[in-house]
Amino acid sequence: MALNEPIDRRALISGRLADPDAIVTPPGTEIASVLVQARPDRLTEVEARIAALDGCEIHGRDPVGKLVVVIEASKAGAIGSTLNTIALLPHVFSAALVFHANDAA
Amino acid sequence: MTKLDRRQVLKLEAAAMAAAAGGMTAPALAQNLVAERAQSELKWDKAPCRFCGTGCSVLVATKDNRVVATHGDIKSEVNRGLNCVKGYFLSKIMYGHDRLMRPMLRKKNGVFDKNGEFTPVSWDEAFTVMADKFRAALKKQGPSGVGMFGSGQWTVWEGYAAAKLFKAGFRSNNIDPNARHCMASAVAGFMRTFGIDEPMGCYDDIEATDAFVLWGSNMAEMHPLLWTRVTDRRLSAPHVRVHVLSTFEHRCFDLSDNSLVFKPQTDLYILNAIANHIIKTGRVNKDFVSKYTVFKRGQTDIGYGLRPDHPLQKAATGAAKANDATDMTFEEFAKFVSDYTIEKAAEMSGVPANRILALAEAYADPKVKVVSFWTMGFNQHTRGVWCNNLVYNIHLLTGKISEPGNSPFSLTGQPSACGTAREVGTFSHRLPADMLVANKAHRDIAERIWQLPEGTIPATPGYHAVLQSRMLKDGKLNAYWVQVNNNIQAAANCNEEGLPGYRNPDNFIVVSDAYPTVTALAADLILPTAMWVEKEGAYGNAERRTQMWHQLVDAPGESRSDLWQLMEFSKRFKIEEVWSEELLAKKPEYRGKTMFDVLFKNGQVDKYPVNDIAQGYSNDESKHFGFYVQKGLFEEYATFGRGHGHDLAPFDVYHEVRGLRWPVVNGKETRWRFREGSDPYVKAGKGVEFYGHPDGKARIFALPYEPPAESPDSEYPFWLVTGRVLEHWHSGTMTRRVPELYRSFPDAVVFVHPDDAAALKLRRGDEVKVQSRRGFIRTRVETRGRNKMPRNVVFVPWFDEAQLINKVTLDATDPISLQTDFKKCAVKIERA
Repeated sequence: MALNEPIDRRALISGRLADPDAIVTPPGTEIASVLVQARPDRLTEVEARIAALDGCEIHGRDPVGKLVVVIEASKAGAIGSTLNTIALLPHVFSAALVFHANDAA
Repeated sequence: MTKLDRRQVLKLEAAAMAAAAGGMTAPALAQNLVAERAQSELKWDKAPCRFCGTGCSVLVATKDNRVVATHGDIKSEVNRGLNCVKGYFLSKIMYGHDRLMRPMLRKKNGVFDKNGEFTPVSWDEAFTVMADKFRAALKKQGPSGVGMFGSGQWTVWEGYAAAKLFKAGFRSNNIDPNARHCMASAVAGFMRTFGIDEPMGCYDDIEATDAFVLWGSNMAEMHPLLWTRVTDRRLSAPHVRVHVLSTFEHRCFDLSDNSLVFKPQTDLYILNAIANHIIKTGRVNKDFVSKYTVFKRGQTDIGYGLRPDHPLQKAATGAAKANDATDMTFEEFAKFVSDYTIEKAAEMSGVPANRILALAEAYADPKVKVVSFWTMGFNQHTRGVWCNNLVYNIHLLTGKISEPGNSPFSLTGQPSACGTAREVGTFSHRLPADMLVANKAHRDIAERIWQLPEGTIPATPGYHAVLQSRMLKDGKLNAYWVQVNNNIQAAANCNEEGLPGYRNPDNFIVVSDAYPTVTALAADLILPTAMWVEKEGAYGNAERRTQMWHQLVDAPGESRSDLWQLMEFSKRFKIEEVWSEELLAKKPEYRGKTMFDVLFKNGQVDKYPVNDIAQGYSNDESKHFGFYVQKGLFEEYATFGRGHGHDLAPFDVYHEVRGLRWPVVNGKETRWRFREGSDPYVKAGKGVEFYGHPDGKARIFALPYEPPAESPDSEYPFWLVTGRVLEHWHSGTMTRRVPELYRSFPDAVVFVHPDDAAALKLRRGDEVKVQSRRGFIRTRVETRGRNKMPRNVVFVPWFDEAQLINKVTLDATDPISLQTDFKKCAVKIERA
């Protein structure tokens, strides 16, 4: 919805003002690292599931229940959804972002 | 060392930082990388995160006037190098392609028209029209005709300048922050029990405790960094237990040792049953209770903060004196709670008795240290202040308070709900440092510091958040300015109360924002706003930590910070236009001056020159006004609290450190308040002193169960609970502009128990209407996923501007805190 168009009350009430394209595309690739905490007795399973995700590498492991994951994405913004996917995996307690850079190329 | 390309370096560096933050050994190759950083052309600076109230510190890299990278700040005691998923948004939130760049005024035929189209205008034209409308409102209604709705996302000085502009300049107390929706019940709870706001403990309690209790807080999704610390404590110390209470199962239940899903509102039974259990089993810490507490019987039947003509409001006998209390003895208190047995609590709440007992034992056992966390489950509650008081009861009866690991801890949702909304006193009833507009002595202090004639600040509290919406609709509040929030989407019952007020032809609505939110689009004038590191700022987090940052990049187009807008607008009024002749006669030297001169060019705010600004940083506001605006405002503001239990360090210190927890006395921060040896305000030999109250004692309140404002019935058979999801922060203004996140959770859904869905002959993904007595939304059914609903309770997140769930919610409030209950109303669900 362009701002110079009149606001339509019905459109506002029914939510049709929402613009799914109102989003930014940052340039280049992105890199992020994530510290994952997971149920210690299911760590191997969690590790395997993360390693299978697009762009994810495991860079460290602590049997107490921690993994260091590095995500690389050539598609701008893909890291965000990967991060959420990890955070919501079974047996994962938390996924904390540590480092994030776009324009990494 | 092998020659690596920049990408490989970044990856190893990223891994090394994560390993270090997790207390793990870094990969060998990565350890050589520190030196590489100098070559990376990036400039790194610290800033607190823009999102929640946790207050994580992040390092922000800028290149060519743009934020390009962030990482958790290893020097920060809050997040120790970690960052949550929302940290990912930080380098993107400023770059949405619909970023507002110019003021936009509704116009028809070249002039302002309420039904006109948004048209770009100059700042001069915007302020000219706006000032005319404010003048007209002042003329028609007096000072009560103008008002402002601000935010817990304001920087400290923005909130301070706004409060001063309205309370001292326009002489209207009609200023309130969106924090009213968020933690007003926590504030009132602190003030009633302790006489001073904000938690006594700090995050260090997490690593020192034996048990965590979550009372209505989904920390796993909403405060992920603190949840990471809780998880770390639970995994590294096997004796630690986690108790989770909620009206539905969420991500925190994964780590839970004792899960309590209770029927909405019955937390009041559980809280009282725990107090009763402590007394019945002889585990009251009698020494602590007799020395440091007194008992109070609270007023009951206090109503629901609805419009006065609502039947529920008319029937409430205690509504006019909701905050009152009378003295009682320990014996009378024990008798009062004796009705609240564990069995009764189990029957009313639906939680198995053995689970309530296990929770009660954690509190009762003198050997177990307990941290209680809560957020909106308590605060957004028509008895939210009571919930806060009742959880303090438990900690006070057992003496489990104000020491490492024993900590009732109210979390906050906005980055400066504490630092700005609460400490600065941007509420309609407050002044800085916990002072009140209704208290003559407090007004005197404020008027002295602000160099105002006696009687400038009005003595009556102004319109609070919910009342502002009602007064807009009723045509009593005619000129209204909204900054840093999206209240049409955020406030309850927006269909009946919010939007009609914005579109009322008597009213002129100004919205300052970085993006075209539904609130901005419902306004008459939109002002484009600088955000986060586009300006110098200060935030205060949930553990009393004040943090500052420098301006790191320029704001785009013609956008200006809220601070610039507030101060520049104040130049548009001569003091004669806003003050009465009687008042002016007490300070004749102010005649002919502007509000700007009186409020901001007063010899205090303009005391520090621009060359005090640290080398290498821009500061657009100071450059414009000709003095170091932020420093002047901060130092004047800090005068209110220094020597009165709210001491802040000198301004410049905060640019050097990773924040300090107030009171900061003789350069030392305070981690645990009210405890001798840790808090400099506790007198020698006292041991513990709750000095917020003149007698130095905390209050233990007798407060009963009372029902919610609206409960399910045969016509509207479901409880509706609203809240957030991991992917989106609040109304999604910033997070919905990050592409992949938008797509990963694009649309709100209604979470329903599978059996309820089956009974309605609905399947996952079906389109439905969620309908209340006030309005409906269309959405889709979700029976799986992260939230597992019990029967008869449904959950809808509120981030989605295409599904305004606040058309459905009820604007009932806690009568003491005046905070809305977004967690309880009755709905029906039908196939759309």
